[in-house]
Amino acid sequence: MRIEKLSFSYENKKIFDNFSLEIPDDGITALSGPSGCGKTTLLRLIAGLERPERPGSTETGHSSVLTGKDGSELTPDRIAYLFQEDRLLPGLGARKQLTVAVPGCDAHAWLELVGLKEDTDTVPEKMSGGMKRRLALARCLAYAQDKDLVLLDEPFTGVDPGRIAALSKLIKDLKMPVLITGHTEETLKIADRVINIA
Amino acid sequence: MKKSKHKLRQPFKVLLPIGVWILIWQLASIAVNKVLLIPRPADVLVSLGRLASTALFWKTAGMTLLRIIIGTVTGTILGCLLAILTKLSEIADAVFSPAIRLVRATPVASFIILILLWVAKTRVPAVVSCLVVIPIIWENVSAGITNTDPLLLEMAHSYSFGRFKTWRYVYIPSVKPYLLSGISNALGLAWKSGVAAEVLCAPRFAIGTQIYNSKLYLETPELFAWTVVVIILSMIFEKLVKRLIAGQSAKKAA
Repeated sequence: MRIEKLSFSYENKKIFDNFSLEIPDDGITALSGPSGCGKTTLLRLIAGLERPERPGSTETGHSSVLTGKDGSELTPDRIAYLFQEDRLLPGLGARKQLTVAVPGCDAHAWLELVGLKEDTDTVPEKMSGGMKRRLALARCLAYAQDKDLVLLDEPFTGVDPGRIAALSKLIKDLKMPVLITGHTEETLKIADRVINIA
Repeated sequence: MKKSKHKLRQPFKVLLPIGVWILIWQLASIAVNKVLLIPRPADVLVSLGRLASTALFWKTAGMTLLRIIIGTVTGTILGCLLAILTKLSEIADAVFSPAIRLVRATPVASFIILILLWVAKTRVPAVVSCLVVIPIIWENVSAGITNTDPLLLEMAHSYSFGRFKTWRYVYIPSVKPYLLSGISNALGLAWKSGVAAEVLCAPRFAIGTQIYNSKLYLETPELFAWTVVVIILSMIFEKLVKRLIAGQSAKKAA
């Protein structure tokens, strides 16, 4: 997969100017770079949540920025995205969070995989930061099952260090292309390759 | 120790202002010394007791209650639908929003007289209550929709929620507290405007009609007694809604 000549500005500040990137279509690719270099923005552009500028113009362009080897576009509906924030639905138990976002998924199995099997009815308001992050990750990975690409924006933020190994294994076992960002050593550790976008 | 002190304080807090104002009322009635202008609290209580012992009283209070409930419920439903419509469509917003603001700014008395020309007088109180409730609900629900968390909306889009699921799990939970607060605010006004409409339209079996008749026949203690009935009914209604709101909040926090 590749991104070609991507340009994007935010509040009159150029974040990407004719930016091109080759992303291997297997394994885990970590995006590295200092804070504010545009890692999250790049994920949002790939997910179709921000619109890039057309080359040579400041007008917003097509929402798909990734193209496959055969030149076909990877549209946002083929992508699962774990946001930087948990974005869980208020007042809804953990099991319901999964079944609402991914109807038909085996919510109990996913909750068990992220260490939340005892919290099926616990609402986000009663969860710790780490529990919420694990639940958001479970939701994203359950959604990713029939997708072509997974974007994980700082998946281990707030997660208890003792649980990161199990979550890393879960991500590795996906056997599908993953783009991951994060400042922690664990993020870089699970990556098959690191691309610096600074 | 502190807990028992609090327990003693609560009834005192409720009873003290009631006692003080009844005392002021009693003193004012003694000073004026004219039952026609200010009846004594005891006279009003006797009138209230006499009224409450008749079937007509309960039928009258029940019919007024029914009209206010119909007006409030209809106004709430229409206010919600209009809020959704004006938020979804720019054309609907351009057409309806100024009209709703106009309804809000129009004096209730003008409404009552105008509506009396168009609908049967038994229906005027409910229609007036409904028209008073609509702008309040519309404004509150619109605020709830506007203030829906954009991050959750983006998540719903990203996880392909679709329109129905987005409303069910993102918009409605966001709008709920705004709606409940709107209903709580609208209730008092629905009562005031509904009874005012009854006074002006004088339908059968209506507290407003009884208030008007009491004034007509110079039955001031009865006028006061019916006013007390309106206040009590309105307060019970408001308490029930507030309890519902508190119940919802507690459920959410649990």
